[in-house]
Amino acid sequence: MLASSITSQISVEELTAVAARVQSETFRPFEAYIVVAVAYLALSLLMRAGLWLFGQMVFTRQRKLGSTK
Amino acid sequence: MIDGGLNAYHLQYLLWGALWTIGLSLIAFIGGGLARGVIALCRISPIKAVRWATIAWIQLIQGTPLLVVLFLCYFGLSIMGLELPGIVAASIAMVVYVSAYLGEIWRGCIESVPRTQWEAAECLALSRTQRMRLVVLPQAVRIGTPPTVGFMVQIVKNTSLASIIGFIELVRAGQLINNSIFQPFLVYLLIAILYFAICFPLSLWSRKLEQRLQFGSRAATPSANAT
Repeated sequence: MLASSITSQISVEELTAVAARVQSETFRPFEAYIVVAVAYLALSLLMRAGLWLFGQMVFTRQRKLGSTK
Repeated sequence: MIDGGLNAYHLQYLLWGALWTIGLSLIAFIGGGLARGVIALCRISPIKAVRWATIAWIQLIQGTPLLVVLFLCYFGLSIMGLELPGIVAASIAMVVYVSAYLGEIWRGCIESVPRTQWEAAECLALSRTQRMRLVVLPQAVRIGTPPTVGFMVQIVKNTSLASIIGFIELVRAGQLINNSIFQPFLVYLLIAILYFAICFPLSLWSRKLEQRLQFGSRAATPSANAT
């Protein structure tokens, strides 16, 4: 997901590309990109939580790392 | 040269860009290497606040794309009144990026030193610093070297992002050449070959280190068997 930000360079209209457009319209690049950074952070945390939940559901028999039982 | 395709001058310019790519990679690797030591040690610090602050930092960097970190460094520092050339902003962003990832890699390496080694060091009445410096870190370095060299490949490839803030490295040099000769496929093919020429030896080196230090295969770790 993080690597998808690079596609903005070949003008795919995604989050980073929108930020670039916003900053070129408002001339406030720092604000635009900090919002985008927070959005990416939220997305990645959300994704991680979702995948963790998925993992809990799929692999139900788990033991703590390092324990033998 | 006016109506021309690729000539020797263009190639020379590309190679010059490649040198800057290597330079930026080295800056990122050395700077990040210093920072990662601090991060890895803070990450496993006995003080809870330090540990949590480091975890937050790592999550922050690993949760945002390098592209955005790069923009934030470039524009953020100029907002603070510092008029920075591309290389400085790119270096800072790369160091921040590398520190978070390598720090986490090295945290894993330090923690994968067998538990018994820590306990043995404690039995010898070594202080925490001594235990780290004399027992754990020398072993962690052995475990950590192959993945670190492997990560250098990532660093080299990620320096290509510095092209968008106007730092003339390999990709930016290619873009400039492409602007004058309009042969994008040829130019980017050359760039790809150059990147491959830089990265492939690194990958080979990493694999060789892995085989020599024998941490790739579980069965070959004598310390784990001996205990």
